[in-house]
Amino acid sequence: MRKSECSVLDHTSQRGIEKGAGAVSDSGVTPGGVEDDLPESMTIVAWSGDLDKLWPTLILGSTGAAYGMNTTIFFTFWGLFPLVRDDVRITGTNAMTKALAGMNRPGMSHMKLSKLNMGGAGAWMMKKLARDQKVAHPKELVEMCTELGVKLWPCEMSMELLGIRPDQLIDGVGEPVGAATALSEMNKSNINLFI
Amino acid sequence: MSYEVHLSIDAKGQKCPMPVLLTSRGIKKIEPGQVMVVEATDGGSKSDIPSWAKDTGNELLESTIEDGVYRYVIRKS
Repeated sequence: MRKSECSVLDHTSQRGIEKGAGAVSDSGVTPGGVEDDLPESMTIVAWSGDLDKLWPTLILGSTGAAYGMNTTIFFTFWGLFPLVRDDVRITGTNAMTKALAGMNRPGMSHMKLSKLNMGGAGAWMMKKLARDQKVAHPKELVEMCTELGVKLWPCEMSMELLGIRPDQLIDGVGEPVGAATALSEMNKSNINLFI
Repeated sequence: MSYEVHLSIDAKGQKCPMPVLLTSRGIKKIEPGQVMVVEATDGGSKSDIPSWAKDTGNELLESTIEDGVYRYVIRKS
């Protein structure tokens, strides 16, 4: 009787140790230690292709990388159009996707303002103001992003949906990825933004 | 104090976030222990460069202003 009690105790205590050991190996050394070892990480979902949304996205993205953060920008839906090279006039694989690109001209130079665009006059004025004030243009910021190692990930599904081919995208853009890859990156990130 | 400067970055006239971006690009070009000077006119750099240095573990040796130009002396660690 006593022996069996003893073995039960042994068993539970052993399981306790195993469980403890498992928890330690799952999270690295200690939760605090892991936080210190891993580089800070930021993921921005660039969902909008508007000038006044993508501009701050690129500012934060490049600055994050300058701070040594592991930075990823996931471009999806309307956010994909600015990633298309300026010289690609029309994207799309059928009448509807071609019409979409016709009404919403792709390219970093052709972004519109979400408010007071006034047929492009608003966006032009904003860019002129920025130029006069020596604020970096989105194109310059994208170059900085690639140079500083920001991962620019286009969304594979959106590309197919909108009829945009990988060869139509600007240099420095990564391979198209899926939502799960973006989520896995967001799961590891201290900062996640949806702009 | 004077230091042997290995790299000078001119970020004068450029607005946020360019001074930090140029600083970050510059630090990659020098070796640990070497010193870099960054000059900027953007007022945002006053808080950005010290916080950048703190967060990236590089040493801000000096931070001065003269005739509207901020001058930061940074040692790569």
